[in-house]
Amino acid sequence: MKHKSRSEKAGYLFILPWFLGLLLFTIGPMIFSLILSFSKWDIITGIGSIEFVGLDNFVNIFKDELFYTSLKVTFIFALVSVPLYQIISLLVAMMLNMRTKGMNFFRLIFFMPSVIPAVAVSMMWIMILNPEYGILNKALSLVGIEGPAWLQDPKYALSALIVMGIWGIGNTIIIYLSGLQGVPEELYEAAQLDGAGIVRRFFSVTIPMISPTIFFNLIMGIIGGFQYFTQAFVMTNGGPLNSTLFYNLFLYNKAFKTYEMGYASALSWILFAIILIFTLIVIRTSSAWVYYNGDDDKD
Amino acid sequence: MNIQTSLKKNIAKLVALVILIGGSLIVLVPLLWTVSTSLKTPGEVFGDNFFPEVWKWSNYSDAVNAIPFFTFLKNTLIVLVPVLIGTVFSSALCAYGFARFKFKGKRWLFLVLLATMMLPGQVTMIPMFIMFKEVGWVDTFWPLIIPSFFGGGAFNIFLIRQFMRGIPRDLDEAAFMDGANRWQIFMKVMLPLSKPPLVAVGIFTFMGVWNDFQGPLIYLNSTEKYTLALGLSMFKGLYNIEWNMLMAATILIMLPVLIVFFVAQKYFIEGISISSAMKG
Amino acid sequence: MKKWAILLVVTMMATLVLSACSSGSSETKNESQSGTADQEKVQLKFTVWGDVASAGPEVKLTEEFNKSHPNIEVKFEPVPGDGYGTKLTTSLAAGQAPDVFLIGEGDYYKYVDKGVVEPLDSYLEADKSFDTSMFQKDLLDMGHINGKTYYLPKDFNPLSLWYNKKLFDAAGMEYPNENWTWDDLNAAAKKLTLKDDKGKIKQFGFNATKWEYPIFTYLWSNGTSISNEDGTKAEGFMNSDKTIAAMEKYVAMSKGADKVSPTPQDAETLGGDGSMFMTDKLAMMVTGRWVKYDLDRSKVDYGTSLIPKGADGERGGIIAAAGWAINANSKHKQEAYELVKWLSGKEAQVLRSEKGLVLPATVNELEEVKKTEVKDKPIIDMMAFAKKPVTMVSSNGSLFVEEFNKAMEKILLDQSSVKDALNEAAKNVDSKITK
Repeated sequence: MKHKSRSEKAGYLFILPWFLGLLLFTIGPMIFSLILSFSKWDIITGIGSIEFVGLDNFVNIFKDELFYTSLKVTFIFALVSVPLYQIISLLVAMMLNMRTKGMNFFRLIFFMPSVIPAVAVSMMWIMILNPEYGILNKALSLVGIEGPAWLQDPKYALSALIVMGIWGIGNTIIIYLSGLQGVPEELYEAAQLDGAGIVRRFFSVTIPMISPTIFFNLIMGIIGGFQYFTQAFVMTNGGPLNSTLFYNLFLYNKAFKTYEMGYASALSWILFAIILIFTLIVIRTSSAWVYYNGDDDKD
Repeated sequence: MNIQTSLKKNIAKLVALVILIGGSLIVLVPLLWTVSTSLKTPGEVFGDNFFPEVWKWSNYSDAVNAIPFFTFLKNTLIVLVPVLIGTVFSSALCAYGFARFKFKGKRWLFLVLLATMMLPGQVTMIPMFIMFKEVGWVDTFWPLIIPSFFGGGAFNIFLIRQFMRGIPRDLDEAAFMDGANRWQIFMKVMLPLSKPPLVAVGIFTFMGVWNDFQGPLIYLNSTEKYTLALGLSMFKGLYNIEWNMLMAATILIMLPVLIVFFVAQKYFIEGISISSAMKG
Repeated sequence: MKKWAILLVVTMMATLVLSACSSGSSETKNESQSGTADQEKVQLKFTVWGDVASAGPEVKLTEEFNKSHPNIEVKFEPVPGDGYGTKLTTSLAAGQAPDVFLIGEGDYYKYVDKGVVEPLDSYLEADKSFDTSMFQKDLLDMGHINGKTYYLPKDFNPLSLWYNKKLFDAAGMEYPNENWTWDDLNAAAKKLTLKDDKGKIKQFGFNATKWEYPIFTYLWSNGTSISNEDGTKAEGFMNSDKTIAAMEKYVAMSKGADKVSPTPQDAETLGGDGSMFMTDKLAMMVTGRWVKYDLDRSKVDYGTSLIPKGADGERGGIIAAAGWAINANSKHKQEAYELVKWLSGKEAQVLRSEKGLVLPATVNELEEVKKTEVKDKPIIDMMAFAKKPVTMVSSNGSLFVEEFNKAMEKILLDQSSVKDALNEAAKNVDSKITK
């Protein structure tokens, strides 16, 4: 008992820096934005003009056609891109985890795209995706496919952004790589001696051993997917015909184009709730599939 | 190991290599385009040629000379070094707290930790700014540095926590038996064993600070305090964008990150040999 | 156990630093600190969006102002172009914005409408030494809202017609002149549009952009507009028969078998009209003078002319303008006024336009430029035809532009006919209008 309470105190002490940071830097702005979501505020006129309006913002949001459009775009993006990026990242990371000469070089290459600032990446892709002059459609025409007008076609713009995102998954790859590095080689060897093939080993050794990493990437992928912004902002600005009007882009336009910060804050809390629900679902199911070598704690 | 399995293994390896090479090409072509753009003349940027007619290496020296490059570099380092230390250390500390201790409200606190990432930055940015303004930190480096010492970001804590929970408890139990206290266990056992995620956090932090545009834009007013990412965007005016210069600048700013990554990734390998040795 | 204590102390110290700093707002602190040194000095800040090339003159102007005004200390804080909006908005929200800032016509009406910028009339009236008639009248008029002046001119870019001489020469055609109508332009553009052997267009005659400014000039020359005079009604303007007929012609330039213009998206992916023009892929475009900076540094041989007239001889022009405004919350407005005066005054105009990067806003200097610079003459002449875009007339302006752009997008994507799209847009605007 004595041991436990000591350990409890120590736990609090170790997370103290974060907790102080939460109180000092995070909670304040969060509460502020929560208050704003029930207010009207033309931000350019300064704090003095904040005006309490009750539920008006939320009522207006649920009447706003663009809200539903942006919600749809964001959901499609998140539901497709999150699993897609996770699977590809994991597969690439496993290949990069091979012990072969020159692997350092490959790792560097696959990491490179994440180093380029998002704006520069976006500009590059605008050119790649150009229907007539871009290299993507030129490559497709070599195999006899006539590529679509990607970013200019409402049917393809969202898919184009999803495909483009694959190019930038270097960060996720690295996290998987660091997770894979923690899997002891002996486990594979043991499984191999038991006669397990590549697929078996993947599902019975790799997946359970890196399940904490998968759990991490999945949650971060959900948070990031629902908050997708920069590329759409630079490349399509929501178009054509609002086919890439992501939720955060819609929110940004409200906050910084028409200066309706109250409305934007209300939007942000709705998004907050959505992300929270999805995260909780993942956490709830995690006890069934996430395996921690070091403890039997539940999340 | 019989011949058949080793053959199978080699075929799998070969397939993987082919995929990796193919993937590399996909990654490299756009990058080459960036490099070639950075060596073109302004009129040529959107021309038909993939490679420049005349290789204008002077774009690089021009980019460096057009702005106080070394002042910006110095400012970036002033922010980078403390943030790197603060983030890696304090996120590891908090991650250890969340990974290894049982305390009341832990699950709730952890959910709060995740929740802090769920509110879009666009709406917390202005309250944040107002707060730092009240403290008098506008046009100083403090708003960019200080927060990193308080947990170093939810993302990083979460990442390291996930890894630490995978480390077998026998290791710290053994150290505990040898008379080590919690702090010593953290420093001597957990930190060395967590090298892969710590290196990853280090790389991400380096990259984040190095490329950060929004933070410096909002908090820094004086040109002489600008960081590199902010200073280089001076090649984008309201009407004109000097693409060739911008790309030259982009390459210049990318190189250090790539070098850091290349050096740091070796620790991934080192990380594995330690942990497998201890587990084995 | 000792290490525990160290950890605790470190975190405690950090919190102390924070709370110590938060006890006093630095702004007042800074002022009182510097106040002891030179009691009377007023601190001013001003900001512009800018790139490397344009910040130079402002730095020099700041130095000179500080020399000639011993009681004022001005600090110049430029912001990179694509961060300007965010930065200014954030600092306005926090009440931390510079005393003087540059506003462009995009945000201008909104800022005035919300009372963010100070009207200058009372300062101008009280100041007999400063005569605003030295500025180009059309330019000053751009900044008038409800009879009040809210900015003094800094940057301005009249739109004009730019043509690629090499492509005209190659086709053996005469250059555009001031008698051209839009039909003449269209006919010339057809001849200047060339295809390669595969039937792909390799050279376009004209760029029928989706940017609303050139379209406005086009509509004005056709005797129509997307809104009524004071920006309160779209029905019968945005969807008038004249507008629909004119827009059908305009859209046909970038669509169909006879197209003479890239689609807006194609132009964008080719680096915009400026880049296409420089690489001899485009013969004509209507755009602002800012493009000159790039053109002069490329190999392209170009000329300028007036934007064509309509069939009835009407002509419309537009000026993309930006000017110095005073923050309505500034604590030192009189001093800020002095700064604004200096920054848009004659010396400043001369200094900025010295290298031909921008045009001077003052009448005499403009006349000088007109005499010597052949390429700038038609651009300056276009100022006489300038009208205000709807965004400078009404706080509903952006609503008109937004709906009009949406309609254009639908038309270009074949989702709707010109008539249906404009009808719908007009209906949308009128239903959302607030005044």
